[in-house]
Amino acid sequence: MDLLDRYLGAVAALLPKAQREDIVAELRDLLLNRIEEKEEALGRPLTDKEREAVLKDFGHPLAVAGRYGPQRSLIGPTLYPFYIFALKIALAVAAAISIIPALAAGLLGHDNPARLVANALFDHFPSSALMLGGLVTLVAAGIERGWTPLTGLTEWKVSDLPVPNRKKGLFETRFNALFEAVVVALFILWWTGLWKVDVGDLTVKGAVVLKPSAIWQTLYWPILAWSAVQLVSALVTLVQPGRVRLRAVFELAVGAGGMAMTTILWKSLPLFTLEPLTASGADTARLEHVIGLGFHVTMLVAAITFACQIGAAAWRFYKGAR
Amino acid sequence: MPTDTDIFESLRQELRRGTLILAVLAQLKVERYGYSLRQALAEVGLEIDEGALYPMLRRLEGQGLLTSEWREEEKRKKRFYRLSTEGETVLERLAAEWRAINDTLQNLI
Repeated sequence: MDLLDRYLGAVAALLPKAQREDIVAELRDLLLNRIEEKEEALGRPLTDKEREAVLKDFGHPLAVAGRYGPQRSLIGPTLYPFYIFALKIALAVAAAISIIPALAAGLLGHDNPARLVANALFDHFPSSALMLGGLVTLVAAGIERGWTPLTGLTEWKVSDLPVPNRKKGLFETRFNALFEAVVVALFILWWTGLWKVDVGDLTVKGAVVLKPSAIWQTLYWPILAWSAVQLVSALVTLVQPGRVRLRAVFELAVGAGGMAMTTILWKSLPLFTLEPLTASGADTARLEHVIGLGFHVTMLVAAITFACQIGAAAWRFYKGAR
Repeated sequence: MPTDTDIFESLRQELRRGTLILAVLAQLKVERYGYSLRQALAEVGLEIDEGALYPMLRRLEGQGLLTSEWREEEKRKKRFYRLSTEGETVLERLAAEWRAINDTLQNLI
């Protein structure tokens, strides 16, 4: 087979089927013209080596076919700053989800701290970073091609931008949201069993064993749904801290859900029952009373916190400013 | 670190990119095929890489600014391009824009 046919065959294989024949015919004419021009200049037919040089000079088949593609860049200049910003967030999230579990496991004494840190840095972080980075790139490429509509980039308003606040800067708002998103994501992974944490058999000094009450089973889906809303709320704050009213709606939902959950848990106390192993019945009852008191206080604090959250979010929704 | 030559070359390419489309449209008031178009441009001092020219012709055709037709010439099938009616209007507007830019820049540099 002639070198020209081989070259055009390689280009053709990379072209869209509908235009292939047309483009190849045009390229053939162009390349033959180039060859003839050289032959005219030299006054003799070109050798195989010289013909090959003409084809090589025209460009690699991948590059030649690529010029006919509808899209020349994966992520264009308009989207690029947003892409880089999202990539930085993805890397921060990857670092957090790699390091926080390692720190937690280190503090609980589950493994050698040096090994945990090495695993986090050289195993978990690279794989999480690659996965999240890949996901961000895919989404950005989808937006670039119009597969994923994203009106936020074009339909933004100056009045939606965050109000500068000396007490609490934008960085701090975002950092808090990032921290909250990571913690809630880890909780969801643990709650759904996707992240297995060995918490032992819940015994207290080998004397009594803690048994979760049935309410936790009943509230499995409500707690999961509430955590998901909380995660979305944190992500909204992270990506668009200036959308005060939208953030307030999510915070209201989280606050209301938290308040409802606290009320149900309060009515279902005790949340754990104690079964004696070696402890006496009186000791078990006393411990149960102390733990019960602890839960009552916790529920009370949670209820006050959620009430404050609802009040603050309602105020922000009304005012429309941070 | 890019050298001054690299920076100049990149800016020159950027400057030329838009003007080449104008030149191509202007040259296609007369029907031409790709190779003869490149030669015509080279004769007036505008060298253009064929790798960029042919995809550009297709894009302009896709935008409705050019029409094309396959015909046999010199015993080979060739694709002849010509400015469409819409292309003529766009060329007129682009040429006016070019003249305005040129006049402004003449006063600046």
